[in-house]
Amino acid sequence: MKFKRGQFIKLSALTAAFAIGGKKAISLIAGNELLADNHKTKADPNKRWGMAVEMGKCKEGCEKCIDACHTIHNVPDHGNPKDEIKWIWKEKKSKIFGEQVHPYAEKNADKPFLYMCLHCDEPPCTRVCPVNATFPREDGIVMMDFHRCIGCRFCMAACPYGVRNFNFKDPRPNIENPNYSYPSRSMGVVEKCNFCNERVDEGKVPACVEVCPEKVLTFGDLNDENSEIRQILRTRETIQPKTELGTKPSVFYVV
Amino acid sequence: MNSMIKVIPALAVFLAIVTIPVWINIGAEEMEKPELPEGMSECIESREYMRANHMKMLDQWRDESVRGSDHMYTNSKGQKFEKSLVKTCMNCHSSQEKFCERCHESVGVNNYCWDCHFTPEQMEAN
Amino acid sequence: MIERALRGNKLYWGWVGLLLAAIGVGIINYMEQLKTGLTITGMSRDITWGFYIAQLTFFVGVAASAVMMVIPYYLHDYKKFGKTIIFGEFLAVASVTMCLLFVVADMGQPQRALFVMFYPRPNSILFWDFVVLNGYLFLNIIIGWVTLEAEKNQVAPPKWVKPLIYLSIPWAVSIHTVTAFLIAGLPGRHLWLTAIMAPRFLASAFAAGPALLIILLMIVKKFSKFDPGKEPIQTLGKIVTYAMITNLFFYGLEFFTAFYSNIPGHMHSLEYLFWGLHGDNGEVYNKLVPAMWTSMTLGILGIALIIKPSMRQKETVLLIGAVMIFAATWIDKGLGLIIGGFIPNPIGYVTEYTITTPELLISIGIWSIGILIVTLGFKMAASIKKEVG
Repeated sequence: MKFKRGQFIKLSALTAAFAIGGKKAISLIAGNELLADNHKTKADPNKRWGMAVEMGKCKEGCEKCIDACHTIHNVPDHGNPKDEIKWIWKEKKSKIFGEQVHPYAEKNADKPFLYMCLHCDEPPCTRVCPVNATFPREDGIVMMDFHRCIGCRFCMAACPYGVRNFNFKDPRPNIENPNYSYPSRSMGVVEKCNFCNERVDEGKVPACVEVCPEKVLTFGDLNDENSEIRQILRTRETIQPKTELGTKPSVFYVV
Repeated sequence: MNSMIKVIPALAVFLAIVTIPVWINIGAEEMEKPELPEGMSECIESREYMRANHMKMLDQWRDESVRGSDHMYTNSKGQKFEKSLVKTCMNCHSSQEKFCERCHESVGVNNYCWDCHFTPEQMEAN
Repeated sequence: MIERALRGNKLYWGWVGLLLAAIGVGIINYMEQLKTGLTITGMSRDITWGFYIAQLTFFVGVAASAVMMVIPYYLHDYKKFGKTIIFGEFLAVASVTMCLLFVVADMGQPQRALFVMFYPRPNSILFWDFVVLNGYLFLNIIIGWVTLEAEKNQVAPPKWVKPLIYLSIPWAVSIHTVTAFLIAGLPGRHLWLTAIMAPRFLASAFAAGPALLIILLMIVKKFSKFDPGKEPIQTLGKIVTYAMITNLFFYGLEFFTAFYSNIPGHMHSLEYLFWGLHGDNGEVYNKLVPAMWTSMTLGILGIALIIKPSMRQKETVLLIGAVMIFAATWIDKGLGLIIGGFIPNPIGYVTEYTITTPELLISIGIWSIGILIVTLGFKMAASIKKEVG
């Protein structure tokens, strides 16, 4: 490309200035004025986030997705099933799909399947919340507002999938490696997988999706017919648990 | 008139109890003022505005960013900031103990933000 | 009028003192729960509602005792209930107060309790439960107080009370219907997802409420000088009998639908309650089986005792029958219904529930508050009615 001498000098000077002063400039900006580098977007009502799970690719014993989720979201490990909190976990196929899994499947019936909040299109949990602490966002993510939750646990009774958790006690003492850039929850509120809404708002995919080495999870916009997830749903067989209840989950298990 | 012997002392005790907030702090040391960050000329809004409205503003921010996923705040000067207690406010007012706590403890308002959100001190220690 | 509740013999004050002590113990344990969290109860990730909500659903039923007398007295001119309606109304006040306290005790963030008013969501049945329970509480307090005061002054009650009394009739039906709707519309809980949940609530309410009232009126007769008369108690006995028969009949209907259809989801909870379930590795889950059979036995025996009018006439027999039926409905509607709804959990695992000591002590504290309201209210009412004659 042809440069005029003047342009070249200006370009070099700018580059040099940026290299030397850029970092300082950013810290000045960040220090003094904190101008929002607004890479955080609003929930887009034209999108409908969904996830496809291809358990065929999942490696036995690997729990990278679970570890990533529970670490970055400060999910505590209380060490007992009574107070247990799990946002994503490996559950037996026969438990998730119930009577769909017949006894002739033998060992295959207990195959571990990744299980998390299915972010239903018509969620029974949001219907029953008396204070709208859990609500469906415009882009399909079923949200939790921990500031609003009164801890009545009605949503937990309403969820037909058993994916919600309650903080029966203060979670902080049992968070092994806290992630200081994400808050923990207080005791007395309900929590669950939130499709990493804080990451989605920055244009990223959920942590579990990003961290998986085998690409078991595909996250995408169900409203975009050209998205990868729509391609999977068009061409592969998928099943979902308890669809007869009319919940319309956004998570699809590829058979 | 006989009952006055019982009534007046009882009235005195009642008044003493009811006016406790007024007299209980007589002689106590002056409340430590919150420590403002060095080198900063102004907050995202004016001092008077923040004094009167920071509680309401934080409430609005949390509703708008969590519930409406509306993350950007435009102040009265047209500058834009992220609606975040920790990332915006605490970035300058970098001590919960020396800033928030100073007033909140004196007025007895429990700022339970820190039950969930990590304080700058906690973040720094790690 | 309240001064009448503050006059009493040693026995009376001893009783009130005992109740206050129990309330104190409840408060101490509740403060522990506020500090440590609901982990001190027996509830878990799978059994998200336990003893507290079980008591809520049961005492909503007991609050029906008033309407069972209001309908005959005000709508059908059955004057015999004239002496006893006020007791039903005070029992309703005590029951609904206990219900509201049990809800607050169950909440994870009770300091946000008023959010139901600040951020109301009419789509949620819990919002309507809050509305109807509070409404019924105030209705009964106003109606009870005003009618009792009018009686004390030996004048007719003011005209504006009548519409409130008529309003309390459908309102009483609504508290049961709405509380039943709490659980009857949840798609994942097959024990509860039945259209006859509200009728079942009403039937067991009309058995439990009047049964408790029979017991309490007999206590009033024994300890105060006020005699409510034989007739009202007999009529209440008739109501209890037919309501309990209907209740057991409805239970049978549930069994039929579940077991004739052979649908696993419908059967599992009832199986757990009455026979127990087996886990994948041979574990046996049958903690509630003895309680459920006790409940059924007591219910049937209770009906058998009082179904014959000649037996019902004997007040001792009626008392025993009322106690049995009250116990039966308490076990079935409280523990059986609420705990059973969570077993098995939505993905087929069984976690059992055991009440913990702090949970029980808090519950006893709340019961004591209810019993205290009943004690004070009944003392007041009995003393006024005895005086006025």
